[in-house]
Amino acid sequence: MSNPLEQFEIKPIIPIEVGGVDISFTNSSLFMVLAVVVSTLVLGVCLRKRTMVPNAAQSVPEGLYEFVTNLLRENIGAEGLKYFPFIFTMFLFIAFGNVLGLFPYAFTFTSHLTAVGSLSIIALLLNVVVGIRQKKLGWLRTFLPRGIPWPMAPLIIPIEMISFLSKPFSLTVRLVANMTVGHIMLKIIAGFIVSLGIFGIVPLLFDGIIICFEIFISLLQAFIYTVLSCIYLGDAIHEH
Amino acid sequence: MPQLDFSVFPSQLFWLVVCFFAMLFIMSRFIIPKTAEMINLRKAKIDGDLEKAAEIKRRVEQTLEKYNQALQEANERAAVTLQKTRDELNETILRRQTELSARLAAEIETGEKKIDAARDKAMQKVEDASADLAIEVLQKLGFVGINSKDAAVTLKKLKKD
Repeated sequence: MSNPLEQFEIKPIIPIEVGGVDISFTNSSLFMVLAVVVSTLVLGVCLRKRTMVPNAAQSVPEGLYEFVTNLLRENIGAEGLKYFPFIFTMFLFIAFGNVLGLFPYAFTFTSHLTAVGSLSIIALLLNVVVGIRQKKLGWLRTFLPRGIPWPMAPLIIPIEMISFLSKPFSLTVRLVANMTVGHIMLKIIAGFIVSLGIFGIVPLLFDGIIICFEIFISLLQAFIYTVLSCIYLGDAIHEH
Repeated sequence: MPQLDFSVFPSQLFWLVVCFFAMLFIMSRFIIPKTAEMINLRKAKIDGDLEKAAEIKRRVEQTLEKYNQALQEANERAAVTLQKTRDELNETILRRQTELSARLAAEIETGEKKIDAARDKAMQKVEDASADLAIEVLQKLGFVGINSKDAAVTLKKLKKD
């Protein structure tokens, strides 16, 4: 039986090095590009014939649009709609990354701390930029909420800083852990299909059920990641 | 565990930034405007239709109100006309009844007068016949010379008594 962690190995496809930094185009990069291309193609095809009364295909992007709009309205408010493209892209990028990774021989870039962590860092930077633009120096209040006595500051500020920095970390770990575990489980059970011979039908059926479950988990995790990002963005916009 | 291999971090970060921002650009420029355009158009159409429906409803209500008002006025006018006609009819009936009563009374009176006259005439004839009979009886008894005039006077006297 092959190593179930083998599927997560990053292999360079086109080695690139700029200024001593390795930025090779890897299998992970390929699936990132595929997530962009496939999502654009799917939505583009769905939007090809637009009618006043939406057809089934047109309902997909429109449903996603309404879904993200409601997400922003509920978690941030009307002012959150300014960040609609960012949140919409984030949801699709993760959802397509998760779902594409379920195909045989595919690579799940959302199961990598470095990839998801990079996305979480981008989201964190957006929160910081939005917070500073919105509240100016008042943004620093994030680390010392109003009503806290000054003598408590040395204790509260580090706690709040850890809390602030742990947001992208928790986002990343949640998604990565879910994707990794699901794929390991699939791989282990798939390993039994051949080794059990005729009885391999049992793990095959089991794998089929798990794949259905994993599709659900992929979309759910994309949803959770997006909702939490919205909540953190809302915290950056509104008073603590 | 390949997930903990941080040597690939620069490559992952670079390609993620490239792919994510490329996708953000594509979504912002093409997909989102196309989707939003149709949703907004539909929303505008629905709002317009709702507004039009509300306007039509308002007009219908106005028309209905006018109709009800006209109906009420017509009913009131009809009631007045009905009452007037009823009064006129009652008046005509009363007048005709009075006229008929008067005519009937006059006819009854004329009839009674005619009956009286006929009765008087008949009585006169009876009296004359009685007188002639009396004369004839008296003549048969042998009283000659009694004429009808005397007989009539005598009968009148007897009648008075």
